Amino acid sequence: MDQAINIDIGTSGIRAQLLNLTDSSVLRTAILSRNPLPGANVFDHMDFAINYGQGIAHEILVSAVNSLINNLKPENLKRVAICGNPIQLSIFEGIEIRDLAFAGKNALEKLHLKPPERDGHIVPGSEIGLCKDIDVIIPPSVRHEIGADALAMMIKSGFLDTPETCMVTDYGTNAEMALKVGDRIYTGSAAAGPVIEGQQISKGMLATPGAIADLRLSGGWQALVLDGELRLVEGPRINLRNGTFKTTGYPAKGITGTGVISLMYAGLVTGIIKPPRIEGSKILLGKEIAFTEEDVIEAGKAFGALRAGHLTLMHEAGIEYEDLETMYMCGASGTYVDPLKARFTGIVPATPKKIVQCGNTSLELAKDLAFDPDYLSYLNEIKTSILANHIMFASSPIFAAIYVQEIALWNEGMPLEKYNANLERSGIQPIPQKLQESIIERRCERDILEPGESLEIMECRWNFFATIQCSGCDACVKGCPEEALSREYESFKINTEKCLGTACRRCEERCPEEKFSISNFKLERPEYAEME
Amino acid sequence: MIRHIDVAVQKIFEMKEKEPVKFKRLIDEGIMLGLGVDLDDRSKEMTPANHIKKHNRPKDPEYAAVAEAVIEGDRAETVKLTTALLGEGKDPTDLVLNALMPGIQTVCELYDIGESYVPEILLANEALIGGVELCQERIGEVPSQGRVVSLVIEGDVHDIGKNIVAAILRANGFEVVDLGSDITVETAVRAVKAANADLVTGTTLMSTTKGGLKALAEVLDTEDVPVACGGAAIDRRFVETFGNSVYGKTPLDAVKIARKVCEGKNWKDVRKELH
Repeated sequence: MDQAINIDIGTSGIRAQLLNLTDSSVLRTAILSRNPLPGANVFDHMDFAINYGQGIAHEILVSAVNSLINNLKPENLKRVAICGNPIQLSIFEGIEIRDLAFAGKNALEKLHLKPPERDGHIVPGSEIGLCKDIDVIIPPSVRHEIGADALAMMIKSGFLDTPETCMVTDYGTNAEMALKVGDRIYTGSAAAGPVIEGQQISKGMLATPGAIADLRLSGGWQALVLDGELRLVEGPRINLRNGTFKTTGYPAKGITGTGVISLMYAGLVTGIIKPPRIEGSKILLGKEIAFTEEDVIEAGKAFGALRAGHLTLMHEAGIEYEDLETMYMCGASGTYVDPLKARFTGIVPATPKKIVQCGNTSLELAKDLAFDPDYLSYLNEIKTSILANHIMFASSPIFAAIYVQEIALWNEGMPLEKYNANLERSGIQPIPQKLQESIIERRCERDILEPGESLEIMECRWNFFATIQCSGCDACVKGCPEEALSREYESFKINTEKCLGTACRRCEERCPEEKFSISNFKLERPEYAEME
Repeated sequence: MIRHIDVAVQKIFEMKEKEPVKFKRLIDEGIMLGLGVDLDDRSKEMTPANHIKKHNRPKDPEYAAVAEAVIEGDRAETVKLTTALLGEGKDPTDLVLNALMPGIQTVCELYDIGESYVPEILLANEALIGGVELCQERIGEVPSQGRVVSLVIEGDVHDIGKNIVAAILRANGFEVVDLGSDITVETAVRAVKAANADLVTGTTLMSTTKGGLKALAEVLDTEDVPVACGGAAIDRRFVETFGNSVYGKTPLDAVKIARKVCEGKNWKDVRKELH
């Protein structure tokens, strides 16, 4: 039986599936619940790669992919097809990334870089560091912020096939979005940040057991928590009047991106949250799990970037909110979130008549490529026409005019009336205050459309090691916000997937003897034997 | 007549029985009126926002109209009024200091008490620039608290934060040379020398470009011009890894840093006071 593997390399997790090429079925799925590279977003990943060596970053990512492949136990493996954003794909392939690291022209010119082609192509596994005798299929990227994952979201959601005016968004750390009006497609990418995936929130976590992923409003608030099999079950009950909680049901450890959206919805609807303030300054969700006013601001930044992105696309296309027929929501957060709650917070436009939740489209496109590598030529062909009208939000004056209103709304408590009045002065249509009745279509129960006979969630085991002769005060270990650092005598260990990377460095800063330096840490070679 | 008074007194006693609160209020008001207090005025108590507006409003009604146009963020109106006043032969320096600046000052003070928001500061700033440019054409140089060069460092184009910083610095009386975004160290140094600047504000949103701020601060060390660093990718820890720099989290921090630097303090002292 010939087999293939499809892989989605996301900024906050990697998903892989074993496929049967004879009958085109999915056999098994394995997931790494975090991206193994240090850092919380793709810019941190790049910064790490540039400062610590692209070779090390490549090695970490390839090791992670190899361990997923080993976990799937393939026989007669013919090929591996991957999908993801240009940065993850380039780090994985081990090609130049510095041209993706800068948004302005000046830095690029100074580097004298000739950016690699990044057309869709096939490379032998041995060249990348995967098993020999297999083909690795790498889909095309277009530019630094838009690539195969954006193509995937447009192709696999049905966005390209319908004649109606519609919009699609991949709800992730770097939210790709597109709007179609007639034959014209407008694309953009909003750096929503990791909030949407549950990170950068003080008690935020990815969708793993113990994570609050939704809330039910009845009397008090009933938290819904993911259990060992990632099913939503009842967790703690939150009593808002006394600011207490009852530890009933499945124990909660933190909150996911969809949980944050539900919580913000509940807070805004009831008036408990009036950005940037929370009545009583925080909401207690469980033992040592508090949602704070800083979290409201972080969530607001992400929500605001999405709404400003959507409105910028509509402005550029010259359409009004009322013209939107369908909204496609992709990615894990886009699939699991309650669309009506999401719409209330502004991350889904107020007006589409239909909302479709589509699951992980990146993994689906990789699956198509694994079954049929010739599909690459089609992708190469359409990529330029589809992405011809790309709006770089970072340099768009329209996006800036809208995002400034979002900052004022979430950080400063500016009323929506002022927001809209300011937009109208800038010649931009206001945000509708009335929400359209929408038909909701949820295409799949889970973000992974066909998991096969089993789905295994793995944790990374890649560590950085260093031996440091010091007093052992553990100021560094205690200072690590992610519990990524541990010590045994003189041996220090950093778990790369948990480490926040170059953006954090609190361990270095805390060391009273100034002996701790991340530069001295070396990557441990992962032990594959252990996995088998 | 007497009968009528009887009826009135009876009514008053009835009211005292049935509605004691209202009765007392009316008596109090009667006493106040007797003392010559205008009760209408008391109901219109000065709100903090009105107080700020009144306190900053120029005495001259023509100047007050300019200030009002800046507060409203109406660039066209500001330019129109300023042009007219200059045509009348008003002193350009006086116009800047006593008509245009009070407008932006009002918006900033309202912002400090939560009665105005960043988008309004940006609009008021646009209006202010419109008026100041006209005056500058006449006099060349406008008196200021100090001169600041603002930029987004090489490799990055995210400039929303920089624009807010520049607007708030201007509002607080600093002259701002806004270089824009994706600015190389060489360009920045040239601009600092040309403007004879006191301070540079440098920002970046992306972690890959933050090294440029370090390079800029180190080069400007010989010029004795410190760099105030901020933006999403920057934190205090990073800024403390190099010299000739101060970290600012909010736009108001930029104002604090600028004030201290223009008072003649060196970056080490400013850091000590603010970090």
